[in-house]
Amino acid sequence: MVVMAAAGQIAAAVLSMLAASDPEVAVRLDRDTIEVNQPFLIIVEARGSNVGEPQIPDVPGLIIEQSPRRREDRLNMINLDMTQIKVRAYAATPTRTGAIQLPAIPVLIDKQEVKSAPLTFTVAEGAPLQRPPGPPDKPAPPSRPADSGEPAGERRGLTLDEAVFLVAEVDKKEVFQGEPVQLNLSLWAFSGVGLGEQPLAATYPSTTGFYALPQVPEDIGPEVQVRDGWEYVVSRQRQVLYPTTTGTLTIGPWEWTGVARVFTGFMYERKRVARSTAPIEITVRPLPERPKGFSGAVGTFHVKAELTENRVIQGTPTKLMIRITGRGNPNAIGAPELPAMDDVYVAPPEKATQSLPLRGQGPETFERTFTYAITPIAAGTLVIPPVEFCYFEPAAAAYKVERVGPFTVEVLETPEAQSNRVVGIEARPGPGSVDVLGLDILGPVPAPSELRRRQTLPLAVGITTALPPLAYAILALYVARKRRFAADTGLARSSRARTKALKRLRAARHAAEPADELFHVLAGFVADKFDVPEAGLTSADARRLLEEHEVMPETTDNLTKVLRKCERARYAGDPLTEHEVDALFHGAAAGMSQLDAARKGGAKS
Amino acid sequence: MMTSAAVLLMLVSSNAFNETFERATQAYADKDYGRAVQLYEQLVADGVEHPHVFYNLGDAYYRKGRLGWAIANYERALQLDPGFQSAQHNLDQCLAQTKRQLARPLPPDWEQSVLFWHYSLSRRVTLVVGLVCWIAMWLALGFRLWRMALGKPRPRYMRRLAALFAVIAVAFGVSAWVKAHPAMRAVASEPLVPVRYGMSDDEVVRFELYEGDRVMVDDRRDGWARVVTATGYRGWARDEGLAFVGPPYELPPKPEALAAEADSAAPAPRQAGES
Repeated sequence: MVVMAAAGQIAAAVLSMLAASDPEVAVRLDRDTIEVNQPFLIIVEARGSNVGEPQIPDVPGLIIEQSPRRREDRLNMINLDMTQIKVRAYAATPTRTGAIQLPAIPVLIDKQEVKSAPLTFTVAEGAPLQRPPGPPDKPAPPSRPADSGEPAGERRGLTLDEAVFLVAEVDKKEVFQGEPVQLNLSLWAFSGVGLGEQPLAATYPSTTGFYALPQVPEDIGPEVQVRDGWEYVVSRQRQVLYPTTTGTLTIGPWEWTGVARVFTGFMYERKRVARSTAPIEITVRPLPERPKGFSGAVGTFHVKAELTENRVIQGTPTKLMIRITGRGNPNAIGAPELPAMDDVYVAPPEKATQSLPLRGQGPETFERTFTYAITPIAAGTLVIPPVEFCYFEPAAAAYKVERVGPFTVEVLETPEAQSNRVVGIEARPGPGSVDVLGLDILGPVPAPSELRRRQTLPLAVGITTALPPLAYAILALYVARKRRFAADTGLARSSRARTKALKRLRAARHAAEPADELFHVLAGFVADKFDVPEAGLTSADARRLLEEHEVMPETTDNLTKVLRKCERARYAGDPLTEHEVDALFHGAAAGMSQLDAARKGGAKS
Repeated sequence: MMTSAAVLLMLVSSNAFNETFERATQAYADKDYGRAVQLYEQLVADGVEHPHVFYNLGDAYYRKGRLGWAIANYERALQLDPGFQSAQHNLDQCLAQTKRQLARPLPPDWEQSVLFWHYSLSRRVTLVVGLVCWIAMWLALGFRLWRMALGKPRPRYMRRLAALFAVIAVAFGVSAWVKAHPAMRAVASEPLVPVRYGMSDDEVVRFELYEGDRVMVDDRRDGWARVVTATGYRGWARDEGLAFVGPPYELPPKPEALAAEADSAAPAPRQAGES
């Protein structure tokens, strides 16, 4: 600290040597209009090489605080000339009306007394002394810092809580559903506290249950305000809220965090500041029973309407513009319904919403325009009946109906009146097209040939889906079998042996020598089954073959027995009786079935 | 015997449906729109699903002044037959009379362009094309196999052709299935339908639907439906305020205007096809 003080003295000495600017003292007020009992600031600005503190004189009719509310010290260097500028702002409160002269204020500059020019101003009649706007729901800031040690009741400096604070307020706390509520958010910062270009809203208050316009609070710029004689820079935001439900809704706390540059009496310090407001409760009452034709609008509205053309040719449109101006949710305003008219085509309205400048501090004003294209089809005088707009006015707590019209349109007959009419704004028919004279839905259509119940998965679809892969699978099996038989003739002979043998067996019954034919059938069957040549096969060969392939002895015996009987009948010349032929055929068929079954099963019979 | 009886029953039923349709159309012509609505709804309740039925039902509802239900039925007709121009015309007329002509929730443009067949063809056409390609694919494969069995050289293009048919068959088959099970949509059927943050009348109203506003429905529970607008706003609305496009085709709560007629008739089931 000692080093710093020494450096400061050296710097002051150097500055005084370099100083060359003319000493000057100027006095001004912070406003143009001074009202009695309303504090204002007297700002004294002195410049020179070495500037002392201003000496504030006593002025009749004016209470001036001797301790300045704001201090500012700057050094300017122009062309190597160093100039010290000292600015002091003193709070003053006039106690009477009329002209007051502020005498010259002396300041010791470069060891010489330099005086300002006297200043005369007029104090006007004002409102009785009252507290400037402040945080209504916020507890009063502490009268002094806990460790300041200043006696109560004495004029003192601001604490940091008083220097920077937030205010969140609404214009009303009890509203109807849909009625606009203006939320004003402001950050008050004492002008001696530097906040710099910090964003105002780090977080927005929650507005659950409200429809908000704009969606985030709108920044409306800072302004300077005096509160309790202190000069503040007030940054403001605003938002219009429309409650969408009834009951008690809560606007959440608004929080702000920033860094303040605070003069501690010796030097400036940067301090982190966090502030928040208390939640605000809004009581929302339901709307009374809605009358027929209620547009959905809640607020204060005025309706105007005008026709673009009072005289049109038959088939050409005129536009009826209905302007609804007022305060309320523009998106809740439905289009007014035009009364029914004969021989007229009315197009659906075009809609437009325009935001109008703010009037005072109330919710934002909107203008919503509905433009109807009305096309008279018949010539003559068209009277558009009055158009009604029904809305709810919260101030009166009642529904109101505004009417515009009636309007009269002179419709001139067109030469091609009955042949060519133009309907709508854009629909101008070209050659070869017909004109649509009215809009309605198309009529019913006849019954289809057959009405049926809905089926989740119709049978036809199921069959159509399943059949192709099934057919393909069968084909694939067939082709595979065919290819296998082509590659393995033994397998092919074995597989087809029984079919072939049964076919031959049926033919053999009617042969001249049934035993001979039966022998050939049976021998051929055995030869096919074991893929050996049929020619020259005897019953002994057949037995050997069957035994080699481990066919069941019973089957082997049966087949061999039939073959031997046939051989005996064949070579012994002893013809068989009808009964013996039947027995042999049955035995052969049974034997073939047994062998076929055994071989197909793959078992070693 | 059983099959013959089933076929006979089906024919008798079909004739009865057509007769009901004719009676409904006659009632409409006689400007007895309440009766027309009742008869068309009876067809829907009996499980009849045809664009003409829904279209005519939409007309009858429109004449009754029930815009929401008219729009829902035109949407049903267009869902079954996207090329049904009269239904599209009438739907446009109805939408022009809604308060704010809220857009129909649709998939993104790129999806509609890529899956053009899905969005431009009716379910029946999609199904027929899918089945024809399915059969053609198996025929191509079978022909190829047959040639192999005959020992003739296999045609090279057949496999590619079969693959092409397979792709088309799957694409159209899936499309037909999706059309048969569409995402649930609904139309606001009351003049003002509050949409809330949760499934309770005490919940905060997030936004409101006007009669005729169309929304998607992505959940339904305990008499509440979670609706999504075309712009992505989401909330819960009571079932009573909505006309569900379906399927399943739900019938409206007994309309006040039809109460007199309905009193003398058998009560319609709440949901189509339940019986």
